[in-house]
Amino acid sequence: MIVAAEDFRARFPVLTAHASAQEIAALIDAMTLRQVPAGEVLVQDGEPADTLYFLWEGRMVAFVEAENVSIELGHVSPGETIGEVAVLDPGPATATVKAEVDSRVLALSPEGLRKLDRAHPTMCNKLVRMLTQLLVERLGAADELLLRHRKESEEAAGETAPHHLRDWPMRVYRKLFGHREATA
Amino acid sequence: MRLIELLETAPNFAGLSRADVEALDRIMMEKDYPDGHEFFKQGNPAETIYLIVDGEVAVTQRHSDDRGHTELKRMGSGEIFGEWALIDHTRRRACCTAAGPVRVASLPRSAFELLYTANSPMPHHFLHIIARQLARDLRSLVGTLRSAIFEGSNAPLRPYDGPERRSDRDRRKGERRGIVTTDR
Repeated sequence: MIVAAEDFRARFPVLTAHASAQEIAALIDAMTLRQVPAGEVLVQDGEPADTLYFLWEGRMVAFVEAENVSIELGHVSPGETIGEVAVLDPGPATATVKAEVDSRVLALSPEGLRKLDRAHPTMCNKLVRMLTQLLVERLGAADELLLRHRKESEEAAGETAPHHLRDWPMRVYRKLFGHREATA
Repeated sequence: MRLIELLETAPNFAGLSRADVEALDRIMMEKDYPDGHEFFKQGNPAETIYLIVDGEVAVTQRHSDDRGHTELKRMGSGEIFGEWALIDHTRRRACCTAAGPVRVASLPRSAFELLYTANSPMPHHFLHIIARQLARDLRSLVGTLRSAIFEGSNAPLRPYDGPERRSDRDRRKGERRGIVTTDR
């Protein structure tokens, strides 16, 4: 096995909270371990993406770029995932994710997911449930911010928008990547 | 159109097996509703999930001053609404109202959970479909945010929707892609 089941459980406690050792082993068995040297791009914004990555070791940064403007969306630490949307709905990546230091990821491709579904459908279900929960939380957080933005826009109508109203799309974007803001 | 025909033909449900389709058809309550029927109000406890068989449903949000609503989006045949009820034991974040006469199939969370814990394959496959819809919603919201950030577009705020949504659906029409395998 590329990583030990118990180590995986320790690193991804939410996903594995109700999973048996066999289920975790089946998940690991469906994945490949990939080295990502510092500076290497794991996921390129706009390019086809279909894989879910579990960050095993290292640190990554997510950002979007256009016309020499780069907007950081947040950092990814071990125990976090990348590509939740891509694995559920393959299509253009929604951001670039790059290794900041030498990193290692466990990659679950669509073929890997199908393999897992055949070998241990219950683990596949747990994974989908976790992803669903994650998307609901992020969409919910983004929605709250959008609602607040609409309310503040209504109140500020006619005046020059304060800075926090002008940068709202970036703040919502960050919410979609799981970024937690310290201040409301 | 009837629920069973929709489940058999809509690309969204291509991942469901014959047994899943029959189980869903048995357990969901299919009914015709008149124009203006309110499926739920913002703030209500979320207890039921709905699937549009025929017709359209408007998703609206109340203004903060309680005067009027903003329409966020229109949903059509094959689309699921109220799906957060299954995942996030929460209150409704928007209102859903029939826009013209509609035929809608509903599934109470209690029934879903009962099947889910009984390890019947159908609820898991259904959850995959919901997860994919959420992923598409997130992708579409990202599209809207990007135009706001990079093109300075001042498009109205439409969480979970955007110009990509319909074209996304058209692009996928007939495409039989899914992470659910039904051939086991």
